[in-house]
Amino acid sequence: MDLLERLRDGDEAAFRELFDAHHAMLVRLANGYVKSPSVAEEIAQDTWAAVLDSLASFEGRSSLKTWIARIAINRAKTRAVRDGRQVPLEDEEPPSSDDRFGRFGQFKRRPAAFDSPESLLADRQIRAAIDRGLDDLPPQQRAIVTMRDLEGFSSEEVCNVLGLSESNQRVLLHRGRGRLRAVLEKTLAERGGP
Amino acid sequence: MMCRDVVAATTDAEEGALKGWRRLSYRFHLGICPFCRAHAAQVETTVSTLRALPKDAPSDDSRERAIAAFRNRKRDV
Repeated sequence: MDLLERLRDGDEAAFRELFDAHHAMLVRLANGYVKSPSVAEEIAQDTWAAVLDSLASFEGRSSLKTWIARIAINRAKTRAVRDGRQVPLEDEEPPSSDDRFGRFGQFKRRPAAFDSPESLLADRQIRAAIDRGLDDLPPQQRAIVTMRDLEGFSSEEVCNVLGLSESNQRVLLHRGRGRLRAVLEKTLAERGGP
Repeated sequence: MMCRDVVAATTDAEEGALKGWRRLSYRFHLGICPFCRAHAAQVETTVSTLRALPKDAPSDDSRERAIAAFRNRKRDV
């Protein structure tokens, strides 16, 4: 029996499995909109309640994971609006002048080589910088980077959850990853080079 | 394409959305430009690092709360 059938059967172990697999993701996604870990936890709990209430009507057109993520994000957006937090439809990005390039758009110097992901993550200062970098992303970019890179969603799934076109999703993913790349570059440079 | 354009096209290339002439010029530029290859390597490491971020485990409290909601609903059915 698959997970969905077990859930519909009221199998507690199946629910635990689903909860353990996705709760942290829901909190992370919600926190991107409400910017408060405790409110994000509330939204994640409400999401589980909503999931349990609507299991019977879940049609399985998307994966369970995508469905749950969509519920959490919709709730987080509603909550953010209610709390007076502006949730821009589009992440606004002022055109930035990137000082890495010269007059003709050529790199002025060779971008530094990064350490391996393992050694980057083993460094507490860098870990903290990544967490901050994620927190500082505009809501849509943060949601997209979280789903694509932290949670392994496909671009199709992300478009489905956020109601975005493929090209819009790519633009926002590009900006989000670009910001985090810059965070790593800056942190490594400040630390005295990789 | 100049380096700036190559950088701007990184995600499109990664996602298979570069077609035709843009795709050719992108690949040609990467082939001859060690700076853009170094940038592409930075992006690749950034993404791999995000993928390797350890997942936070839910606290026992929050798991117990959700399980309680689960049991309540089961009882009500």
